[in-house]
Amino acid sequence: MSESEWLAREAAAGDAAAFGVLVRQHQSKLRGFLLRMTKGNHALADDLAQETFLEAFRKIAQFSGDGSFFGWLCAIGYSRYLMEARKRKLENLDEAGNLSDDAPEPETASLARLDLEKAMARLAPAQRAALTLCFALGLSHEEAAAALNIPLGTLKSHVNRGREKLSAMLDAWRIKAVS
Amino acid sequence: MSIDDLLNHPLSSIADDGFSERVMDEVRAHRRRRLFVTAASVAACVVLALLILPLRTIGTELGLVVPQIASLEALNITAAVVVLSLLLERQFARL
Repeated sequence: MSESEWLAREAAAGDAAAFGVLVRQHQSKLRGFLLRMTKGNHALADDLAQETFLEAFRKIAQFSGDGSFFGWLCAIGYSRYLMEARKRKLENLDEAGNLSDDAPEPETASLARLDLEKAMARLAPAQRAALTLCFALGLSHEEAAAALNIPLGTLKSHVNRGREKLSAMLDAWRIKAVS
Repeated sequence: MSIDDLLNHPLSSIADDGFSERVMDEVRAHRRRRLFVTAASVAACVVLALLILPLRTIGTELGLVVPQIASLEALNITAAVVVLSLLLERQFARL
């Protein structure tokens, strides 16, 4: 049994301090994930993270321990993000993101990661979430599919298509920066 | 830097800056609200029961029936088995 799983069981038995440890352990990664999902909106990402932890506390007894605790948190966080995005009409969630011609100002190679964030913001939310969970956060494909509540095949498709789009966008911007 | 290197780079660490404490404040407030709602519901049920149920009649009937039930040997053995099973189950759950 992992430490998080043990803490989750203690929290489910009524130990609020154990839940506090879980919050401190996972806050940075969850806020980072939601920050990327909200395209850098710190206030919204923190609000969503707080709501996610509260919902996790209310439903802690439902955490079965089949997957990782962080994957379970991401599932709640992603569902909260989708609800908020629909409510605020943050973006068109049903359509896949399209490659845009309005490239940002040319960046130097040392700002590649900043370019990545800009390119990520242009992807469809499901692709952005899939890439972030599978690469930056190191979840397995199975865990990421469970977190996003989609079949494994769909998750892999989001990862491949998102990666191709990112690559194309970054290449296009590099060419523009050089010329 | 390849696209895979970029994607595999971990997300930047975000300083707590009181975030966890704010979450735990909300958790404690949620627990207090839940406790209040539970206590209020139980109190409301008790008051309703006192108002609606014919408690005197029930008490009199119970006073007559309970001694008869207690004298049934088979029922006593069954009750003892149920209690023992529950105790054993609790002990095994702790292991």
